[in-house]
Amino acid sequence: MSDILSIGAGATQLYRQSLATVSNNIANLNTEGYSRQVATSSEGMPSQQGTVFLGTGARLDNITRAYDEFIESSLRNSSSDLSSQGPMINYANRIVDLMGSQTSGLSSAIDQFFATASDLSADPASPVQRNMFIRDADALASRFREIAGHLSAIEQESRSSIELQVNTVNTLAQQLATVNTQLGKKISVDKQPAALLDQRDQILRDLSSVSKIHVFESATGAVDVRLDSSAGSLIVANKTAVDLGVNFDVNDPGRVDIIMDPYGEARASSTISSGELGGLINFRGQTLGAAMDSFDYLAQTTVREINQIHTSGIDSRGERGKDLFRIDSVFEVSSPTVTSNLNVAVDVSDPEAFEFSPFQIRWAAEDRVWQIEDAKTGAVKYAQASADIIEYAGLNITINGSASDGDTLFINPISRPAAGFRLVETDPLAIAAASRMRAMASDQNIGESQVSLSYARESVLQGFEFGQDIYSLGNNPNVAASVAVDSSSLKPALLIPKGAENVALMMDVPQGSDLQFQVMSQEGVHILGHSIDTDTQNAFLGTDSGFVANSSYSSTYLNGTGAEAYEDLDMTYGFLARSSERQEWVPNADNNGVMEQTITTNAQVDTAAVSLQNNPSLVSLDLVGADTLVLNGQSLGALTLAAGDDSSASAMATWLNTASTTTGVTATASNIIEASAEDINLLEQIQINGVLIGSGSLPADIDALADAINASTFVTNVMAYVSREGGIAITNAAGYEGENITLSNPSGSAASNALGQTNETFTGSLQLQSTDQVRFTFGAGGTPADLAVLGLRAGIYLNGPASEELAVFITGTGSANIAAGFKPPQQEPAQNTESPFTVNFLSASQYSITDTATNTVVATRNYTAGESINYQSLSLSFNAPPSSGDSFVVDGNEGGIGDNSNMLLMVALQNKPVLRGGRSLSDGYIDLVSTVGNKATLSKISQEALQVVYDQAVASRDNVSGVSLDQEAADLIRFQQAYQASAQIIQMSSKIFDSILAIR
Amino acid sequence: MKISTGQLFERAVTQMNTQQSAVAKMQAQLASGKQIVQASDDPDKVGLIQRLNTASQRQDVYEQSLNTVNGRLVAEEASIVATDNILQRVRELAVRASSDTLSAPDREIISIEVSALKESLMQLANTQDINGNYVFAGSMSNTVPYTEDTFGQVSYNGDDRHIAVDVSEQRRLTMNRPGSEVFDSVVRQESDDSTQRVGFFGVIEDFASALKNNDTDGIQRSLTEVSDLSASVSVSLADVGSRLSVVDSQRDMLSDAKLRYQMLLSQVEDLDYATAVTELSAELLSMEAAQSSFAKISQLSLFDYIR
Repeated sequence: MSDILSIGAGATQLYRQSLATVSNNIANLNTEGYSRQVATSSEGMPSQQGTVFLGTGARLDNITRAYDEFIESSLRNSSSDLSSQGPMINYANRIVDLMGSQTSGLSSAIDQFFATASDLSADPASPVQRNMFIRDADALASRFREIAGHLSAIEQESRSSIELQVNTVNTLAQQLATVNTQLGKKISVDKQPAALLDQRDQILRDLSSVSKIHVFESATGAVDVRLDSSAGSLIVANKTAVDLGVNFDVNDPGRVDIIMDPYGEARASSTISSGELGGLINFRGQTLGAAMDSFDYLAQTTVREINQIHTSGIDSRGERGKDLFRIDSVFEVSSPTVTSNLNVAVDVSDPEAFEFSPFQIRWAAEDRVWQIEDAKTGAVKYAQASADIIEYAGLNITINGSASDGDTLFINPISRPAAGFRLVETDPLAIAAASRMRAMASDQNIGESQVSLSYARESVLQGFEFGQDIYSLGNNPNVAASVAVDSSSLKPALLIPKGAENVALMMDVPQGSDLQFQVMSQEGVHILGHSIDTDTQNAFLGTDSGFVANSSYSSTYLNGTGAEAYEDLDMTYGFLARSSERQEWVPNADNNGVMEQTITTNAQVDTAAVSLQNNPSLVSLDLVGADTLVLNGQSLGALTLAAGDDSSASAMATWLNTASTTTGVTATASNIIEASAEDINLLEQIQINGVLIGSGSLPADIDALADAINASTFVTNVMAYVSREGGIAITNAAGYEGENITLSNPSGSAASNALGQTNETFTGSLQLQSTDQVRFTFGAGGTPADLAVLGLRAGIYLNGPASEELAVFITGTGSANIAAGFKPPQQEPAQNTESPFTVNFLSASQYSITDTATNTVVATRNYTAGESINYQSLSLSFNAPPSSGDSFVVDGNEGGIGDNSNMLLMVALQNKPVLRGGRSLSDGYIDLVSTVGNKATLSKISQEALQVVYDQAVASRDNVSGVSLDQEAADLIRFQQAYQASAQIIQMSSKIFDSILAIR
Repeated sequence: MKISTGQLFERAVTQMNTQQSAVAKMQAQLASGKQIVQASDDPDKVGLIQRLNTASQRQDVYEQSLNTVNGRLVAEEASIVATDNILQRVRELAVRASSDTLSAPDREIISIEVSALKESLMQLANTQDINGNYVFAGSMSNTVPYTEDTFGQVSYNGDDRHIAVDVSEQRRLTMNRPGSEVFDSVVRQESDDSTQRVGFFGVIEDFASALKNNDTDGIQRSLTEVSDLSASVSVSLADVGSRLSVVDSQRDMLSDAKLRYQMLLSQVEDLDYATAVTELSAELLSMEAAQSSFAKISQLSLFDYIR
């Protein structure tokens, strides 16, 4: 009986527990992540009664959790995949809505801009149209900025989202670590409480929707979690969870770095490819970054193209157009440590001075200054607190609000062209609608030919083929810096580049040489030099292809000055020195202040030693022929050398002074020979002008030598003095200035003498002075060798900027030593500027081009009918052959306010393929929007597919672990009946026992 | 396969939500009359719609330009017609003056009329359009094209620039005819065989002075020259006339193009109401079915039958 009782008791207990389990299931119907629990029973150990085994009932084996590991894992993975599509669809659709709509998109602003440009082209003189053009240009600029602002907002939102998700991962990882610790208390997963396991699985499921994870379950049920795959970074290792951090790159939205353990040993994590976090990172990388870059590229191209067109035309005042738009830098201000409310605005005031480098501003309360530190160089500047606007590196920084000590603002300039798109030209009259040049037929023309003007590209202009750029000779006109350049009568030896200023090219020639400079323009105009015969002309023009092909030689402007000079340039071939003026501050008359005074310095020339020549013949010899040299416009007479005489500086000075009343140049001669203390050899003798110094006795020291020389002055006419460095200088005595000094040594074999100089005759040099200028040019037959007689180097001097490239030929025999001096070239902005000119047809087959400003005939060319005329990057074409005597004027379009050619170019920009791949501006924008839209569509399709997979996974899981009320109700009935039956067993065994007890 | 209770409810709710949002979307479409309410509804079409809108707007721009050009050409035509009439009168006078029966005082009377006609011609040459631009000055539309000095010499201060405007994708129409072409000069052969260009007003001035001086040779020469002037003015008239007809034909082509673009745009953008309403009723039907079936099925529970 006890066995029946125990079976009954055991059974009731079992079924009571089963009922409890079922009730638990029902109660937890809506608990998230709950897995259905089943009470499993097992048979009791049978008891042996002789040969018979009697069962001992049932007992509760275990309460198992309905759980399938594979289904769980598949559910997690499909959840990751599904959630990764969400962000892309969401954000991409927002971008498409923003950029693709008619009201907020860019297309309507672009269309409106070009529409107004077209209206303006129909009536360029109208101020109303110009105002509307400016209004719509401003609208275009603000639309760019707005869209850029929205994109930036989306970027920040996605950034916050990513940070949020990373925080979620960290929180969940921590929770998982705690659960793992709890699970670690038992040794087998079968013994673990089901609730704990449910909690663990719920955390894993939440984690997987944020990022794809790989789970490794250990025997105790504790899990190790890796990111993304089995090779990913370990974020939960049993009881420890590793934090994640995230870093962004402000200039590259696609760059998102997930860092493991950012505050400990920071290292990069493996990539996150799925889950919501993966979706956000994908969106930033694939879509947002590309969209922002494309939009910026569009902005930059728009500004560049519009400005290019606008600056090539002229406005209604006749001035060259300026930039219409500009891209300003954008600044990102971050203030992580600032608690007070600070408002910062940064503006670029001077684009030139602004350096694109980040910096920080710190408030130092004690000194009441703002400390500005450049992040790269560390340079520190201070700004007063009282200033409303802080000026730094070309920026205006405005800070409102009260700052506490140590508050630091980090200011980072970022390159976001679209956000800095700005209209800078707001003056309606400054809109450049007209083209900058205009060609007109003169109304005196007999012919009916009409001319039209077009702009050739700059590359049409070819420079000279041969010749060395003078800039490469080095900027040093001294003789010592000369470079040898070969002469050639076929090719240019040197080139003076366009725009060169203050050029002096000096040639050092040996005595009697026939080397000459010849300067030619590209059109064959002979500017400086010596007249040349036809054969030489053809040789010059023929060899170098830099000369314009059908141009003819012209010597009209050869060596011209003033108004007769080529293009009125101030040029000299010969020698030039000018007086100069400068302004100085001097005490004024009352001695209580200063006033400005002009100080004039005379032109002064110190020549080198004049040439030494001897006249061995019996008749006098011309050193310099009559009318060979011209000084300040005066032709000089012949410089003669009497029979048997030597040339000397004093003779030349006398010769020059004969003309000084007309030339204004006075000349003095001097002759100094300097011997340094090291050169002086007191053991040698010296004869000066044939007179033995010291009468044979050697002087004791340098002073004594000087005295000895001075003792003979009355004979030699040479005196000596001791120089400051301790050497001796000898010079002519008064009255004999400039005479030659002959040094010799009585010992015939000696090479030098007491003064250490060679035994030869030394000529003097000339000092030329003039209040105005000293200008030597050549008469007929004059060559640089003639100037060399006077100790001067011949040169080419050019004052004003050269309007075109000039070729310098060096004709003659041998090679010349050339030294150059010039004003260092400046980097000029490459803007095409043309100067007005007139084309005159001298005959039906020849025309000349005259520069209007200087009235210089710059070219004479042959003409074939039907050809167009190219000059200065302009191209003129005619609809009928011009007749002889016709002239066509090209001028700067003065008064042409009704001209709309430049605005027509602007209108044509709408269809011009200026973007990569030959796309126009509107097309490029539409492509941008379509690309984003495509991504959204693809994601949507993927999402729909993945949704199906996810739903199936959920259904599978529910199939195993879900609670169905009907099932529980059925179980409830079953166990209730079983319980009642078991209770009956107890009752029955009690009754049986009663019957045994009833036996008396 | 077991469906858990939670799953049952969740599925039904999700489906009903989907149907709700589909209905809401259709309602938005019907209210706006467009297939695409937001650009994100159909990103592929966004590009097409932008392009069509741009093209359609450009036609409006061209139409605006055509109107401006038309206004300008009408002003030019009026002036040239008036000029032509005056020149006819001058020619008549020249014919009359060249007849031998006239005497010197008669010719002087004619010269007075010629001078007055010359003033009228100058006024016509300095016509301004409604915007205040001088019509015959070429591109120098703020400069008075013809001015007279104290000696009666008239000089042309404009240039010979042709201003053109885009009136369609392919067509650029010249808007003006410079004074140098309308009031063309003639080539005069002098007695010494040299040729010289004489301006329009110079010819008339010479005619007036020939009349004053009773110079029959001069009058004869003026007759030929005035005939030449008349011929060139006729050419100008023809030119302006042809451009006006181009404007008209271009207008027609433009309105055709506009209509075409509007139709294309409508096809892409606009909602087909018949289809939309049918779809809406179908969707509403399925939503009702889902809701009522859910109500029925969710009530079934075994617990109801357990006493």
